Amino acid sequence: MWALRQSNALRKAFDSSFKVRCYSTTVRLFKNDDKKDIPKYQTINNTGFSNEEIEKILQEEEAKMIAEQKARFVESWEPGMRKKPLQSSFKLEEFEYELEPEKHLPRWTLLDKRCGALAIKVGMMPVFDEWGVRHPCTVLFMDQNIVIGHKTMEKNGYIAAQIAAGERKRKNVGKSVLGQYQGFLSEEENPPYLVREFRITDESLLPPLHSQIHARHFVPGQNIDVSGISKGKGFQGPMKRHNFGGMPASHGVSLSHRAHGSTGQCQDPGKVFKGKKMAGHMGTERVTTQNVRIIKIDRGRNLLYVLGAVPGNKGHFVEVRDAVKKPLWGTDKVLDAIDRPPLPTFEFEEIDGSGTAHEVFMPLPATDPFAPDDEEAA
Amino acid sequence: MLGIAARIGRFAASSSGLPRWTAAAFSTNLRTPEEMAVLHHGLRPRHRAPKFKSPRKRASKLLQELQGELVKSNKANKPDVWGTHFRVGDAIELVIGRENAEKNEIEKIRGVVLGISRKGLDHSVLLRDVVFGQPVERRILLHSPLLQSVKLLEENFVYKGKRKVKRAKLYFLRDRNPELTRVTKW
Repeated sequence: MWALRQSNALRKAFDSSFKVRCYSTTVRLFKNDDKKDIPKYQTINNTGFSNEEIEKILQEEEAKMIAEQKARFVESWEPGMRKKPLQSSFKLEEFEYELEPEKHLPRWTLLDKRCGALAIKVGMMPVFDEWGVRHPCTVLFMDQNIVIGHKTMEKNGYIAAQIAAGERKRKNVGKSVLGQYQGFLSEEENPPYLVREFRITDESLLPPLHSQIHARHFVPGQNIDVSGISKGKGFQGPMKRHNFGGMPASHGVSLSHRAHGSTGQCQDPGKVFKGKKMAGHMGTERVTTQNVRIIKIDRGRNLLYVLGAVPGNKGHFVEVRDAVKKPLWGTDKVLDAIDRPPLPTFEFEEIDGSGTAHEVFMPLPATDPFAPDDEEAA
Repeated sequence: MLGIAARIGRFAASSSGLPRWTAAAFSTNLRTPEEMAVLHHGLRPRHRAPKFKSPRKRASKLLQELQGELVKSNKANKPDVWGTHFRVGDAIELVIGRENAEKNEIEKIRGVVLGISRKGLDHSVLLRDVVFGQPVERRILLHSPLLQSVKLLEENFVYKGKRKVKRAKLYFLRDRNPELTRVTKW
């Protein structure tokens, strides 16, 4: 074993040096253990180092290993003592927050929810960034999102904001629905197309009544969850609806190439279980796509360019909310690496005077993504 | 009460500035678009308020606008790419690289155009060339910011300039002698 360790140590020591291209080799001389005088293994020195240098290097490495082992040893250890220091966090800011929580803003965690928005799915188009990467994006148009009502713990038992979006002809809206919009609709304005509620965790996060939610409510680079009613597929068989495997096209299969096969066992249980996957109506149900990234925001036209596809047909409304699993707050992937979104919603007084650039892009990588890796190039 | 025809005739003649009994008063060359509408439909009340459109129609119109704007601005900003006119069957040279790229990062690609796919922002060109003895096909998007310029090397390269190419896609060249589609010399 010592000989193997020796060659491993040599390998470690010599990898970084320029002197040597091949390692020292160990050769096994004899199979029998009887001949005790003659050594079993012999090392042949192919390296550029002399034997003394090799011995010196090996001694240094051994000394290092012994010192490491000694450092780990804790003298006068008692049960309940910690051998290594407890590391609960790796950021200086989090240490400071733990020390004095009163002096800092409370953290924005995954359990905190703020208001979402309603948007129309406009269609898909490619977006090229400065590095030349093509992102296939869906365009979402936030059409006149106005906060109509609040739901509070006292009155309703839960906290939510009611948001109305879009437009509808007045003749198509009944009187009972028009009554809900009494407060803010003038006689010339069109009533909204639909009204939806968004759950919120704290009453201070409720956006003010009759305020508009703009595209700047969201931040370029963050992840969002988009919910919509998926495209209708009609009556579909189990292969499309439930990803069933089907049966071979030939080899004697009779009349059941796309069927679902067996539906259960025999006399026991003697029935088909409820919920058995079978053919039926597919689509036109609420679907949520999670962790969809915002690539670009058009502030003037209230557009969100979002990476990938989104459930639903073009021209239909979708619900847009901050991602529940991976919103990317505090990371480099969000613009300015902010640790929380604008709360309760974006305020127009915060406009920064950059009037010309109405399109804001997500932060791009520092290095060219198309450049070859250094290892491959070398 | 005047009849519709009489009202139109009065309107038409008075706005053209000619007497009512001349043939020129009724000619269509001297008419503005508003007068033409009156001649066709008569004098009826026009909608003053903006027309209400359903979300689906507004969405499709918006998408058209967005894509059209981008295509227009890209074409205006890059005359080197969009100014050169080439057809299927020509030999082309493209210069690919970012604007701030160093010399060794800029690439020159040559090839025969096997097909052009015109899909708005995904307007692309399929190039075929024999590079280091290996036939290579590549599809390049012309709206990409990495594309700097396009240069026409030879027209009707596939037929050595003698005949016109009469096809939209030249996929049959994949089964032919690779020398027909070789643009680079080594």
